[in-house]
Amino acid sequence: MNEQTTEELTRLLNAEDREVGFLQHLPPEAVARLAGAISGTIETEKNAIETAVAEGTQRLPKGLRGIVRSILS
Amino acid sequence: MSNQPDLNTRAEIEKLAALISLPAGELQSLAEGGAENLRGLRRRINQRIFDDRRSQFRALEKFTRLLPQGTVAKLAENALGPKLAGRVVGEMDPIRGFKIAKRLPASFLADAVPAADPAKVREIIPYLSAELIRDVALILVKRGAYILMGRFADALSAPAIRAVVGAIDDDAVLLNIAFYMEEKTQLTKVVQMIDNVRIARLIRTGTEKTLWPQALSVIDNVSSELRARLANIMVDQDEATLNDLVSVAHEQNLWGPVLRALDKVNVKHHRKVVNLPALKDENILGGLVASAYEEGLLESALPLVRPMREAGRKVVAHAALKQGAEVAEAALWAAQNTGQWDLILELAEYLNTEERDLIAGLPILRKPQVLRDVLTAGAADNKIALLLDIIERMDAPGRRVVAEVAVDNDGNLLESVIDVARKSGSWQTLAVMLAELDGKGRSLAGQIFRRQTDDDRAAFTAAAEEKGVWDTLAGDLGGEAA
Repeated sequence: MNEQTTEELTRLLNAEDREVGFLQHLPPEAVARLAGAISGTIETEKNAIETAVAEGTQRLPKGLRGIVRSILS
Repeated sequence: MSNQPDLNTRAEIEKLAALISLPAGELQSLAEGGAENLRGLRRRINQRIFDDRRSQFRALEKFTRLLPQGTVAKLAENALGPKLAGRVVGEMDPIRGFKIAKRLPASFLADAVPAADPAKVREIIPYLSAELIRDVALILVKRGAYILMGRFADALSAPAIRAVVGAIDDDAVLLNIAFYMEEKTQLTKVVQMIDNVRIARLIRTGTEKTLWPQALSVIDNVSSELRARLANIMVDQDEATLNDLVSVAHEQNLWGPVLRALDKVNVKHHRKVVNLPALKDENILGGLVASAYEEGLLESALPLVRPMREAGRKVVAHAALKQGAEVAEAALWAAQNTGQWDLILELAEYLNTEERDLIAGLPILRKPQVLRDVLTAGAADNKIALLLDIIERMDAPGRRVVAEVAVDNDGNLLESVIDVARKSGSWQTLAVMLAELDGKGRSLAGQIFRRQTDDDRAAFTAAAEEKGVWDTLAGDLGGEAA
């Protein structure tokens, strides 16, 4: 179970095996909880950036809004 | 003693927990992964977060180069907001990042810092004015953002460190920031920039019960010279405060940092510390010994027994043996490596039958050089009778090594043993021991015995007959006196 979770984390974090390999030897429940929280954090952060982009570009002067939107889209 | 992780691992768990919004308590079982692995994982998560849309923010940063710096700062503050601004600044070269950042208000920077790539922020920070850094720091302190501050503390310039430390009156805050510092190896540099009076105050604040871990973390992570200075301030506290230290060290598994600190403390303070009432508890002393063993600190811990009063020595002797043969073996090696057999022999006087049996069976007491050193120390300190008692508990191979060592060098050590046997009547132990020698060894023993008085030789013969070993010894030890 740990092995699978660790593999998923490796992919999610674009990590090297050695960076997350130590988790394989730790309690599976804790590793699963950790993996869930990491995944949630990345997702939350992604959403926060989406929101910030939408709101931030909206506040830009019209002349810049389109350019910045096209860069960030 | 609890099984709480070491201080650096504890700090890493808290940092990871804060990053992924979990209570630190839920991550305690990851402690076995160790501070380094947890730090690596946290950095990888951060990297993953800041890699998201990185190419777009890089492109946006490139676009902002077409605009005047003042305009970029205004757009950041009034339109983009701290989150986007943090990401864009994170893609700038440090000089340009600094030129934009210095135009922004402290409150905005305080909001943007958590959103920027920490590695990039660290590059920009040294260029910012001490006043701006101080103002941002004060906002972050109000938010209790100690982990965030710890991430950048070692990147500050000397004037910035002085400005921040001068502006933060609460020592507990500074200790917490230090506890979470990203590059603990840089702590020496940071602490050296703080004036002596404030450092002393900081450490004294750290001796409040709840802050001991933070204070110990600082002391444990600075250079040897600075550790000595801080540790001396630490132990220059009243007895009640130091008793707290003992109980916190025991409860939170902090003996490692405490022992490393005490190793640097002026020896004049040792007596006060080792005779604290809290250190009379066998359970606490057992935890201390076990930690010293686990952290390879027995050689530093052993001298602390010297200034202990007799009652404390008795407790420490029993507590150490309670940790089992492995720890006892390591403690004796610590004595061997540091030339402290005199101390071990004093402690051994307090041991009961079972404890002496355990000592007698240890592999270290089968090593000729070790036995030579033990017997020499025993002869010098009048402890041969004690050693004979332990030798009597040894198995035959053990006794043989002792006998071989005793007859070495023209039997100098054997002469000391004979002196004690004469006074204490322990000829039987000596006879059984010498009976383990091979022919060559018995011949050497014979030469030494022929130098002894008739009375001694008669007493020895009678003892050997009683123990049933005279037949083995008679050929070599039974001749006429020289």
